[in-house]
Amino acid sequence: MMSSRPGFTLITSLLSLLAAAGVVYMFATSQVMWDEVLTYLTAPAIFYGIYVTVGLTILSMFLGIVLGVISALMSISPSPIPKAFAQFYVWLFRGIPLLVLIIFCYNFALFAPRIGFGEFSVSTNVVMTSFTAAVLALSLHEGAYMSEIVRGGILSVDKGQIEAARALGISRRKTFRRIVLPQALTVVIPATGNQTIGMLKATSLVSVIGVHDLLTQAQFIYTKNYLIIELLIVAVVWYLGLAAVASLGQRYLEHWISSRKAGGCLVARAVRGAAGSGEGVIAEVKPS
Amino acid sequence: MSSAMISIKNLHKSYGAQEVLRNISLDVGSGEVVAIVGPSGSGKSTLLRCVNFLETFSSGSITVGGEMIGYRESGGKRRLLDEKEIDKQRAEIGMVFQRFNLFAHMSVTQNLIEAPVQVRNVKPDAARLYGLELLQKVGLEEKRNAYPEHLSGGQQQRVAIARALAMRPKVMLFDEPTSALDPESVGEVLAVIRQLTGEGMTMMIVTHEIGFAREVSDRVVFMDDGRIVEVGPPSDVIGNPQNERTRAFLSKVL
Repeated sequence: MMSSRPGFTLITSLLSLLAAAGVVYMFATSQVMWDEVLTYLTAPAIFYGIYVTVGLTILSMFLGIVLGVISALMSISPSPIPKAFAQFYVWLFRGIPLLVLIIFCYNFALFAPRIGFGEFSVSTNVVMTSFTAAVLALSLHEGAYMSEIVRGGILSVDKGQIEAARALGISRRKTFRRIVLPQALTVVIPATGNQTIGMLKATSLVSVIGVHDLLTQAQFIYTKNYLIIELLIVAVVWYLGLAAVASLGQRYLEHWISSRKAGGCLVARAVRGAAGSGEGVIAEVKPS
Repeated sequence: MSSAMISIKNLHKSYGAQEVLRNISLDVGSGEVVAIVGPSGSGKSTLLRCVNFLETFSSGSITVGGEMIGYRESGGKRRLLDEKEIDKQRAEIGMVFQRFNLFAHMSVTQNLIEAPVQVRNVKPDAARLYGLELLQKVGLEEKRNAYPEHLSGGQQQRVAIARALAMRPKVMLFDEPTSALDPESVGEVLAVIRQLTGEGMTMMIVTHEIGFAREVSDRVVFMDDGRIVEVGPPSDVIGNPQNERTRAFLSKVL
């Protein structure tokens, strides 16, 4: 096969060759004990860490999306109080560094020693295990980002179409569900895929509060055997693997929504229940 | 024109201190075609948008088919109708926009059946059948499975007209239906509108196509600065304008 741009082909070939040579050189001369890397790659403790990392990612993404959708719907609301609340939420949890937020959540007892309603209350320390704190911090953080993504998706839908729907007598609620939402999702879904990959790696920050995620498990092992770099490589290999799986999933989803029928109907049907109450954006077409 | 299909009485609208519609009164008879012309910013689109209540108004009243639009009057006070009632009124009034505003994620057929199915609970098969009939009328039956992005501007606007007709409206409002089109497409859209005039549809058409207004309309309304300056048969308003502002405007566009 001849490339139409021989210069480009030459440069990429040279770069690939150089990269390959670099890798070979690294393996041949490095002091890294690759056999140890290979051994620990399939250690049960590492597998447990993967299990926790994937669990954290899925749980936090799920809660983050729920929080984000709620916050986005509030932020496009015509009334000022929910709008202000959503803006405050986004500002707060996008602004606090995730690492600090994780530590704050873990030490929530310092802010509120007991939580509950009236007579019924429990010690915060009992509820706020390191895993709960991790999920809480990650979800709150993610929710703030998802809020902006969902809001952007909804606002990306052409106002003229909303107006046309309203002019046809289609109700505000149905306009949101049938016209706005399916089109917003084509923007929201790819961005959510991106966020999921980000979350996969962000979970590693919970190692500071001792959740047994992939990175923490690797750290536990290297504090005993001092194979620091080897175990970090093990963790990285798995992170890369998980990211690859997530990327494939994202590709698949994008392909699915770009095939028009799915984008228009199936996705809308799937989320109809979840976002049925949000039609704030339609208010902009309401006569004022 | 004994029975007015659309009756606008003493309509006022202002954005804050700025008055955009000043004491507009206009009756459109059943089956009558009224063209509204005038410089941009004269309030002609706003007037049209008041008729299906996409815009509220400060005072005055509009009735369509004898039914008061947007408000209910009781004891000398007017109260806003609730949304369900407004939606019901809008369903009876077809509107065609300058920028077509087709639902981008739906095929042509889906665009046509969406409102009948969702608003009127028409069975999808029946809606599809009538949709196809309308597509034949606008000459686009072969595009029934196409998506809006694959249609030319003129084709999109013809679909938009069919979409409005699918609700079997009492009246049709056209808000500069050819202003966003290339010159080649203007003709095909005007041909469809011309066809509708032959079928006795009551229409209000805001347009910059003076020649077309003269040809299809029963009466022409010239608006300037939120007021109706002149109204009458096209031969008078366009052919022999009495008002100086009408003359000035026409001399620029003709």
